[in-house]
Formats: sequence, C-alpha cells, structure tokens
Amino acid sequence: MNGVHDMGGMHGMGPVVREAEEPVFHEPWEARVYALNRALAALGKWNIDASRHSI
Amino acid sequence: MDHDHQDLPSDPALRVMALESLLVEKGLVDPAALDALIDTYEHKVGPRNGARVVARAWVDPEFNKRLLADGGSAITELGYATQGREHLVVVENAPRRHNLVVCTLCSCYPWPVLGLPPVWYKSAPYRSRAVIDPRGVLREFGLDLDKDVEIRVWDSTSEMRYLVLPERPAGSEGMSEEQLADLVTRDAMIGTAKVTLTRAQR
Repeated sequence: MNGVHDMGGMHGMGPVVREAEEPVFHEPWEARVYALNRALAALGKWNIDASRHSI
Repeated sequence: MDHDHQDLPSDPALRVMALESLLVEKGLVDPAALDALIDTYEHKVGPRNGARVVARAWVDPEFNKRLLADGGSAITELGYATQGREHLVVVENAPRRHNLVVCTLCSCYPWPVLGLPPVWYKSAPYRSRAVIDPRGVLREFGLDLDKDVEIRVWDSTSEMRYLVLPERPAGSEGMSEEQLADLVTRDAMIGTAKVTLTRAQR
C-alpha cells in the first residue's frame, strides 16, 4: 500500500529539510485542531488504528 | 488566488473555527480544556523535560540504571509521566555505539520528555531514509560518525517510544545538574546530534 504510513526504506523522498527555531504550532488553527483531537479522543469514539487510518 | 488581499481567515482556520463552535454548542468540548491542552504543549511539555532526565542520569548512576531498566517509571521521579498506554525505552549512546530514533510508520515520539515532534521528524525523507541510510541522514544533520561506530536505529510505535541518552560531553566534569541540562538539545535526544559544551537553543 502506498500511503503516508510505513515509509521505512522508500527511495526518492529527497533530503531532510529542517526549520530553525521551529514553533510547536505554525498557525493558531493547528493548535486548536490538535487540542480538539486530543480532547475528543477522551470520548472514546475512535481508537489509535482508526485515527491513523484517517490521516 | 483573486482574493489574497482579503482579511478573512484561511480556509483551514475557518473550518477549525466552525468545527470548534459546533462541538462547543453540542457540549462535547470545553474551550477552556482546549486552552489548557495548548498551553501544556506550548509551554510545559517539551525537550526541557528530557534534558532534565538526561542530566539526572549523568550525575546519578543509580537513576541511570533505573532509567535504562524502565524509562516510564524512572521519569516519574522528575514529575513526568507517560500517557499510560506506552512504554518509554531509553537507549544509551557510547563511544562506539550511536542510537537514532525514527517512526517509519507515522509520527510516534516520546511526548512526556520531548513534547510534540518537529516537522522534519514526521517528514517522508527522514522516515524513509533513517532506516536504510542512517549515516547519510546523520551527515545531513552535520554529524559525521566514524565508520567503526555502530549505529542502532529504533523504529517507534504507539506502544514503544524511545529516548536517546546521549554521552556526557568531555569538559563538563565540573558542571551542576542544572548546567548540564542546559546543554542537552532535542536533536541529541532523538539521536541526530551529540551534546556539546554549547548551551542548547530551544
């Protein structure tokens, strides 16, 4: 399966690009949606496999 | 884009706002809880925690032993805790052994001690190459290891998260635990750097 998971050993992805002084969140909405995801996980509506599958 | 000049928030920002207001309206989430979560990951949980763990391990041989035996249990001594579902495995560097952590699956990372991962850790180039060409990846990070140094690459999962215990730098003998913690960088605890006597930039 070609997807964003299980990338070990794949070729042709280019160099690793790093960002100096990288912030934890790049945009305020990233922080909000991250927190939403974490908070809603407590409702137990999905497990980690479902979460990964949806990425 | 015809509307680059507009003051409206970006599309993802609008979607997230809509999602949040809907969830708040339905009573499924408390905005104050979201603020607390964001504050935690922006200000409380981060590489500073891991640096304290590493410095403690350098000055306290008994703690070092406990840390290598059971990382998740040992970090509670400094007030940190895993989420409860995952194991924290601490891997120790030595003059002829260098450890490198990756998550080829996705983005698993030892949150309690390092916070959220940087973008490069989650990127396709790092995840694909760390396991087949670790020496090449490390060279890109400016770390050129001797050929006789064994490299061990640890591939994370949601249940197994890894922290590298770097080598204490030569010349740091007289330093206090607090001063030592200031030297330890996030990258050194992922394994893409060594600890030097230069104060860490975080």
